Amino acid sequence: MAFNITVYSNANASSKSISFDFVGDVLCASDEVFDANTSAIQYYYKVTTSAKQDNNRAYQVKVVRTLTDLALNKTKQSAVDTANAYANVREMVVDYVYDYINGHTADQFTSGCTEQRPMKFSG
Amino acid sequence: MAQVKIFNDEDARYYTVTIDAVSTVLDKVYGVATNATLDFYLKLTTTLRTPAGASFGEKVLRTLADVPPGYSTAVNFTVLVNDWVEYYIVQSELTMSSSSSSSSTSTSSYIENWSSSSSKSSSSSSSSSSSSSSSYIQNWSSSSTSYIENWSSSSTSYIENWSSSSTSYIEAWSSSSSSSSSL
Repeated sequence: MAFNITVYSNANASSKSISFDFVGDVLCASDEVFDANTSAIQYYYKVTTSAKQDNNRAYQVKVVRTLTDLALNKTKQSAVDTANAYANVREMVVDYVYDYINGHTADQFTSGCTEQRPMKFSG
Repeated sequence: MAQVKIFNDEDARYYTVTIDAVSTVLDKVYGVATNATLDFYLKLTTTLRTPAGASFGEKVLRTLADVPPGYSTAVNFTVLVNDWVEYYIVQSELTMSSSSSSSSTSTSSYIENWSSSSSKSSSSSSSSSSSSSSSYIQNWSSSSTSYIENWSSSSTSYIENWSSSSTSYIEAWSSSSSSSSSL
């Protein structure tokens, strides 16, 4: 069972949804080398949305495996310039939603992240 | 939602530990603020039961420090989930009959529905008593003067001084007459 955060835009009178699910999978992601001897099921939050950035590009699926997996390249929070871990799941969810809505510049807060445009509500 | 499936070889049943991502309003009991507030967290439930048959209830996991009693703060959600699964398995004593020490030292359990085959004696090895899906020790409840000693060892295994407490009993004992138990 996942939960969805619905974001409503006053200016555009439209809403978008962001889904947070908690899943257990064998991860074989680009940032991991799969090893049949040591790789095992990992449990993590999977954050997805069908919304698009304002340049019409889709968002990547985001994987949050721990509360130190910060929104900007895992190294910085999005809303404030800090490398502190999220204190709890609530802080993590709020910051990731903030990041979806507002986007960020390349290397924002010297995090090494790539650019992500704000969420598109029009059209 | 993630679900961990646990197979217990001894009663041939599956148990589950379910972890949900949840959003709801929590009251101040959970301490986000003094007033009710919208919160996001993991809700942990399991079909495993305590040895007394009670539910473990729901666990609310808001941080990586919300670990089982005696565990250290988890480094990630995988460790957190695995710690809780381990805790539930240990607390429900699923593995009790595979260990002679746990069954002989417990003061709040009993042998129920012992159903070893007629060819199996009570001095059978630990492998036969613990691995057979139809033979198991559950909730051993002998008193301090009634115990099973060396139950899972070799032919020297025996039950000694089985007699004292009225709450201690062997139910449906069906091993053969060749059993060496001195009941």
